[in-house]
Amino acid sequence: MHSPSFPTYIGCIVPIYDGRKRQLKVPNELAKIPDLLPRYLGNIPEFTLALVAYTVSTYSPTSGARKDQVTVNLNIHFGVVLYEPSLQSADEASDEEEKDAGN
Amino acid sequence: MFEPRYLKQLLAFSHDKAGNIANPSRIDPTLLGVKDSNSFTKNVLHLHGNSEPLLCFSLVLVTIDNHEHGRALGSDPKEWVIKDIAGVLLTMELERFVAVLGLAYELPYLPDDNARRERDLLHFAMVDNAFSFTTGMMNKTGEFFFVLDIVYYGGYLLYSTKEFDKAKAGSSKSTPNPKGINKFKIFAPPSPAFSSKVAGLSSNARRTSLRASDTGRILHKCTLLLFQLILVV
Repeated sequence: MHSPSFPTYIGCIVPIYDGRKRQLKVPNELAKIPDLLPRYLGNIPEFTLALVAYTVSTYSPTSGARKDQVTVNLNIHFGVVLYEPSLQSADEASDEEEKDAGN
Repeated sequence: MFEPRYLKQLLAFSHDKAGNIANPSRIDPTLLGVKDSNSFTKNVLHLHGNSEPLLCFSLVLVTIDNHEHGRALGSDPKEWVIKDIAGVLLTMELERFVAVLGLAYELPYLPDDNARRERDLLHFAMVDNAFSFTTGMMNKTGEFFFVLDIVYYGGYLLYSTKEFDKAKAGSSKSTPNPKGINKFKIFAPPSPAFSSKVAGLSSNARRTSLRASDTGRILHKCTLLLFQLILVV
């Protein structure tokens, strides 16, 4: 059985895909996202619901104050935007937050 | 179009061996192994029985996005570029995520408060209380360099900037997003033993007093948005 190989480091491009209009079949289509979804253009707004795909590795600094301390790298490969909050809903959320803070 | 059932499927997804993918918040940690991918990449998470690195998926609410232009750190001739997306894991997923990684990397699970050692901690990259999913740090010649500076241990999060400040050296001027990594948070009241450990770190990398967690506010806002989302659909 062939398993997909994911490079551990991706240097230049972090592709973001647009998953707002198409629901993926979980888990079968998760490994094929780059082939299934169109690219998402532009910056991702704050509080967007997104799926991030990454590999996990660690490293230990060889010098400095944190020498030999295990540090986890979450090496991003791509992302999928699932839901973008509208400006209105974000404003409402912040209004409610302020009200809560007032109480 | 976005159904709560779909959200639940994504959240509750565990792993798929054929696709070599997993959700670290849900996967059984006994299925995970750690191995060196190459001389540069150490301790890569993988599924037992599969030598390739495991592609992990997490559902997050994005708080900072630098995936397009990245952000510059440092200054010439040592200018580094990093591209990242910072996102908050949903409540409970975060705890599972940390627990699974802790088990995968065989951290001690019965910590002795009096004997906590830095090497017993897992460090994560975070930006303003959100996990930072990053590329490697690249300089213009394509070399990689990593500076990660988060401590998560026993329910305590500490973000220190000691090494990062060294590398940063007054940069971020060209950073599209002014929110840098040079902040830290402590999320829970540390034990006296842990406080003394923290006190041993750089003074510019810590605060002595606790503060209300921004994560609480972010999660609150995220929860509201999720409720709205569910109500809309």
